[in-house]
Amino acid sequence: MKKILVCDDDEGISEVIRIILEGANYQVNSLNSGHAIQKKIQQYEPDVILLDMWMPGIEGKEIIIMLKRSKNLSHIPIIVVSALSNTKDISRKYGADDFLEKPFDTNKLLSLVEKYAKA
Amino acid sequence: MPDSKGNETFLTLQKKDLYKYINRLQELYSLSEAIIKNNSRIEDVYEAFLSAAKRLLNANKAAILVFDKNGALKFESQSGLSKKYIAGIKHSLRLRLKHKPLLINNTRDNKYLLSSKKLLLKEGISAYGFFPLLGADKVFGKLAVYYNKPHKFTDEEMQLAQIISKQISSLLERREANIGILDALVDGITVQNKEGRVIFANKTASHALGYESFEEMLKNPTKWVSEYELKDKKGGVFNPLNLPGRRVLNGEIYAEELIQYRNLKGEESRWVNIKSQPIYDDEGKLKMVINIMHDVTERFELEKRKDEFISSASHELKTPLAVLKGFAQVMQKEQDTEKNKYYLGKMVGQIDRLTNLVEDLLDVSKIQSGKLSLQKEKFNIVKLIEETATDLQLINNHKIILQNNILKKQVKADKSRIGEVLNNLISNAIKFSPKSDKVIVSIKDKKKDLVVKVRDYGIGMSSKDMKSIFQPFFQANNRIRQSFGGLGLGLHISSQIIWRHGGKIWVSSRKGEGSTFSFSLPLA
Repeated sequence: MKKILVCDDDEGISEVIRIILEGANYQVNSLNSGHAIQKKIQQYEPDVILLDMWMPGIEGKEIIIMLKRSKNLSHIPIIVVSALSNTKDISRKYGADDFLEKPFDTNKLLSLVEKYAKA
Repeated sequence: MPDSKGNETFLTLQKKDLYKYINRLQELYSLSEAIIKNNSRIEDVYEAFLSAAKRLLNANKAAILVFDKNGALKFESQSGLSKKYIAGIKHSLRLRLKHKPLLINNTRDNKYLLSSKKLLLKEGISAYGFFPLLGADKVFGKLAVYYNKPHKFTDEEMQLAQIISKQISSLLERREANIGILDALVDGITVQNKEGRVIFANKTASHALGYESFEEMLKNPTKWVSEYELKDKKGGVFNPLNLPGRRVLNGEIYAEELIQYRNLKGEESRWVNIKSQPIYDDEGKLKMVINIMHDVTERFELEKRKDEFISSASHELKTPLAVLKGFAQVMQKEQDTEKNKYYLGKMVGQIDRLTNLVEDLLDVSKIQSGKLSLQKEKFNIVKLIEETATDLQLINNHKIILQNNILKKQVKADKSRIGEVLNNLISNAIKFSPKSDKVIVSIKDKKKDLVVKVRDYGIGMSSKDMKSIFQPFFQANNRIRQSFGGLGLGLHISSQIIWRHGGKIWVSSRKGEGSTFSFSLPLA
């Protein structure tokens, strides 16, 4: 079973993503902040990370930069999931693998996660 | 019988008088001309008064004296007086109270001239007269005429002196009123001569540039250059050479700039919109530059806060919409009955509609604050049109017909923004043609441009509506608003996107027969 890590401060978003992905047979873990994310990724070893941009404390862009610079973690695909209208530009700029704008379509979420979980 | 010779003398005298009167009339006429001529410098007008006063009153020297704040008479303008006299003479403060002419027929014999007598005689002034310059409720100063020889004023001279004084008074009164008005203005006004030196600043402008008054600015003109920090709209350093006034001095006929300035002493920075325009002389050469400075700090801050609010509000609105949509779609999948699936589909559709409205509001706020950024890339426009049409065909009953006869298909543009425009135009075509069953999208190339046309057979619009159709919040009328919905932002946003790409957008339509919306884009 592929493992997905959802990092979003909005509980509603985390929950709906979890339900959608569990329905498609993924194992989902959620974080409601970027705090100590590196440690948690090392413990959990996800196949794909879904990352929000606007979070209290550490911002999404800092997390992307940090993970993509790390030797052990840079291979994990990061999909930015954000309500910012420039989600696409931001995800490109900081080196995320892909993006999904909120509100998203369930099928689009599934196909994106599938694409990166397979690789 | 009268003596014929005496008669002739009488006639000659009459003739001489007549010439004299004509000359005087001419003198007075040219005087009024000098005043009326709007663009003459104040110095020139004074000079005209002084030379008229000298000629009409047969005087050798003349001066216009004005009371200062402390009630002392100061020379405003003069003709023929020496620097020594001007510096040395002390006029009695009592002159302020005297509303009647002061006439000294013979300086040497006068007993009341005490300290000033020596100076007067040294200057060669043997007689003089001071005529009051009376305003509506105050005495502005005096018109002074000086004679090299003792002089007895005639009634005629007295009358003429009164006429000239009256004219000078009204000029001073007008000037005082003008400066009063300028000082009362909330906007700052400065005037530069053609060398760029500031020759006038009203109170607001003087204060804004860090001076108590314009007089203080004249004494210390470099202060505002060296002690101020200028920034442009985006926060970068603003080069003083690009100041609107400087640009007009260099030949531009109008210049406007929004600038942030801050006194280096640490005062708060202000935002000011500066507009500059030239004033030309009779020959069309640059004479002066007028700068109008409008403080927009409050408005600017408010707009910035509004932008921040809209972008965070739209973020906050989209997050719950995302949750709603997600759960609705999960339910849709799990539902067994078609009826419930249908209802949930409707819900998802309405969530998408709400999302689009939020996006539109955000776009408009970006357009208005100049923050709509384009991410240009090369792509196949025909493919994008096909994709958009396919997506829309899935959820609409109208047949979307594509007509394509172009060879070059590459454009360099913001793909998602152009997709937004296509989506908007085709959706509108469908929305506003409820009784028709088709929409035609055609693509043509025209020289270096590509033209996309979206044709519908719907309700159309009047020529009056066509003029405002790209304005924000425009919808033909309330009935349209009620029956078709929407905020009236889509076409405004589309037009801004196309314009920002260097393209054009236009409409042709006839009421009841449908509309064709077209846009052009430069080919890559």
